[in-house]
Amino acid sequence: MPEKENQRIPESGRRMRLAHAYIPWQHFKNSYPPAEALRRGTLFPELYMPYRPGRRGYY
Amino acid sequence: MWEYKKFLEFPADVTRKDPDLAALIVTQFGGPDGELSASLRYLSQMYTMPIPEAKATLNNIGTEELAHFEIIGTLVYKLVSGVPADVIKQTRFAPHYAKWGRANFPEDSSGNPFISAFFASHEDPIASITEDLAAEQKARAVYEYLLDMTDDPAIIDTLAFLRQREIIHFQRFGEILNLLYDFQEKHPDRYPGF
Amino acid sequence: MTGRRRPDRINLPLLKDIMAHNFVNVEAVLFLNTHPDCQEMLKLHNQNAEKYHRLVEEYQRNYGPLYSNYPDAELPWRWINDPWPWEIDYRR
Repeated sequence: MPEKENQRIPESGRRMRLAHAYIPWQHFKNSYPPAEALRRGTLFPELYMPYRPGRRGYY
Repeated sequence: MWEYKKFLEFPADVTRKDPDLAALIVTQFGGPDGELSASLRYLSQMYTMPIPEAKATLNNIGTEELAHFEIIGTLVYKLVSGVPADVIKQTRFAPHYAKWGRANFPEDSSGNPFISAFFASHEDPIASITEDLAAEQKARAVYEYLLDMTDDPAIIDTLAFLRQREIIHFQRFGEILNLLYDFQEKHPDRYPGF
Repeated sequence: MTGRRRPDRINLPLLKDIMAHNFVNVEAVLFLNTHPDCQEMLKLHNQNAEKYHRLVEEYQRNYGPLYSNYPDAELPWRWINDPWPWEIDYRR
């Protein structure tokens, strides 16, 4: 298979194939303190993606 | 088995009574992309998963969705409890009141009762986990529609929390999908695990 | 006794602290399920769990049960006492 159709996911090194869905692998870096994590709905700053009205579907 | 903790996952609250809004938010109690549908989908799918990471993730997220079912139930309860019938009569909650009074019932915002046909549970794990990724996106979208429907700051905090959880679950199911591909490659003979 | 019971006294700041540490556990467990070899997250999980159980123990000792399965239960049976989680005003 030519390399173009056989890309690798950055970081994980996984071989990517056509007609498959992939998600980037998360690596633990830092975290919110407990009360702030609960308020934001996640422990992870890199996954905090709030809704901005008028920007539906963007996260 | 399951054990109840006598507290909510998130301190869900409302600033004022609003039966009109209750009639909309109930769609996340018993509608197609609601929390009950999510919970039963994952807790049905977990049994036949070929890798332990997938069993655990479906078990834990299915459990968390039950806590979200309770959060939505809390919002609907707080929005209508104590509101007199002659006030409810003027609102979109009136058809619900005619059937159930102020009790919570799993239905969508049009009054259609909860049905398990909202979700699938396939032996093929790629099919199931891909459905779960879609389910998290649909639920995120519904929370955005609902956020457009209210200016109550306490409800906005609660709906924003639940929306953010959908994004986290999407990430975890995506990681499970990656792990399933690895398993397929390493164990073509044992896939999908029957 | 079948008469109306007095609701339990609640400690809202302590209850919210418990909810926050419970939530950290929810997140840590989901992360560990797909990263079962992550040392840093395991450390966070264990430290948080230790704090969570300490807070729950303090709450149950002074304010009322959060689990029906807890040591040192007394009569009258307190598990049934109001307020239930959906009845609490969390805005204070």
